[in-house]
Amino acid sequence: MKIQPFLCVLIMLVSGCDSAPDISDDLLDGEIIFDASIAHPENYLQSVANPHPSAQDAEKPVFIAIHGYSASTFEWDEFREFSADRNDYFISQVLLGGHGMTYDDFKKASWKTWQESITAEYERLVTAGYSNINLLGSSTGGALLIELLASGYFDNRLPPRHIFLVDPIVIPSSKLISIVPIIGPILGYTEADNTSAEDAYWYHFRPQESLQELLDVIVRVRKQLEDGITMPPNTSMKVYKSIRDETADPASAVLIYKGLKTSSGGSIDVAMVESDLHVFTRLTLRNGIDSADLENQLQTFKDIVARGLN
Amino acid sequence: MTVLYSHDRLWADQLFWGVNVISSRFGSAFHSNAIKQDSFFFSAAWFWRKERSIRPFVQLNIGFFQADYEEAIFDVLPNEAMILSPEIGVGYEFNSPLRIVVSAGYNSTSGNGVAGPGTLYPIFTQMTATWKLINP
Repeated sequence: MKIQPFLCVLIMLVSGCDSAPDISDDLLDGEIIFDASIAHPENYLQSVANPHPSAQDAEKPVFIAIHGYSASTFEWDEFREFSADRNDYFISQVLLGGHGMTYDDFKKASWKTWQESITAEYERLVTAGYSNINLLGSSTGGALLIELLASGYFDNRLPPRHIFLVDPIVIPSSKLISIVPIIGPILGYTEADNTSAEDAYWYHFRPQESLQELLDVIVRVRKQLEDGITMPPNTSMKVYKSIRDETADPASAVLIYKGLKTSSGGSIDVAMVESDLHVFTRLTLRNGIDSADLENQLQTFKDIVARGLN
Repeated sequence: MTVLYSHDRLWADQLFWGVNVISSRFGSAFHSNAIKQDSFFFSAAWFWRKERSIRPFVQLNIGFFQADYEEAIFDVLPNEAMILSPEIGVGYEFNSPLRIVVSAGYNSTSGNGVAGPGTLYPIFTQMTATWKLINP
């Protein structure tokens, strides 16, 4: 049959290209550098830092900060630094499942594995007695939070008080990701254009399996939003979206605004931010940061905290 | 909605000129929160295998695309683009005025949400049913 030579070439391409990348020790992908929260969870997770809070502490807001695809807890370090002098709220920086370890760990993890770290910390905090839990997700972290809302995770649990999404991705800027199921097995992996400093905190190599998981969760959340999602009673949401974000299409904010309603049928809050950064609240290790970027970060952190304390 | 015209003295039943209006308001955005999108474009198509049932074709579309973000807060986002899209497909002519066409195309002016509307995807597929009203 005529198709046989084509199949042979395709199989050769698949088997020939799906090899592991050359990973050096200075990359997060390797065997040396791991996310700091793995060795010292007490510095990142409130449930570990204080599993037996006083009645007073248990009532203070806890912000569970969730990073995006291929990133690490580093993405929210600046929020912790901003909060260093505050004792009226706590921060839990969650490391998504499969992240912050080796390339192989990343390759094997599904988006449900990524999400399990969020629910694990949420449940530890609830068990410990914390009663004012807030969720703060960036990029894919935002999509994972919307998925939790849509799947009814909070239906029989203490609901979060506030949910904050920074540059959530439900429509990717690069539409090529939609053909990852076709070309992914041929490519094997892609490379990120991180700076060398960023390579210690973001995966440099992105296995095609992880890109397919990313696509799966994005498509799933997009459909959930199109069908409509109602948030739990007394839970509010605010989305902060960079208007020139070239990773998470700014139209993501449109679909989230249309698809998510409060329990009383009201609209969520959205702020369109004058920025060309993706996850504009993370400025460390970026080149070309200006005063407007610093102001965007500061005002967003202030707004998140003010709402969380309200 | 598509209206096609083939002149009887200009490669009749092979060269088709079209006017097309496509809206998600009657599809994915109907009773849904999907973003409303409208396209208006002219097309020129060439169908091979005249008077046969299965007819491959190529088409070129030129027109205008608009996404309706509805709220003023999203006015800062690009929501309009020109359409320039080659398309390829195959049609099936029934023993009646009915023709069913399936095709795939490439939007050369698709955007990333910063330069052009992000809801205009580069690759699209569609199925079209047409009913011949007038014989050439």
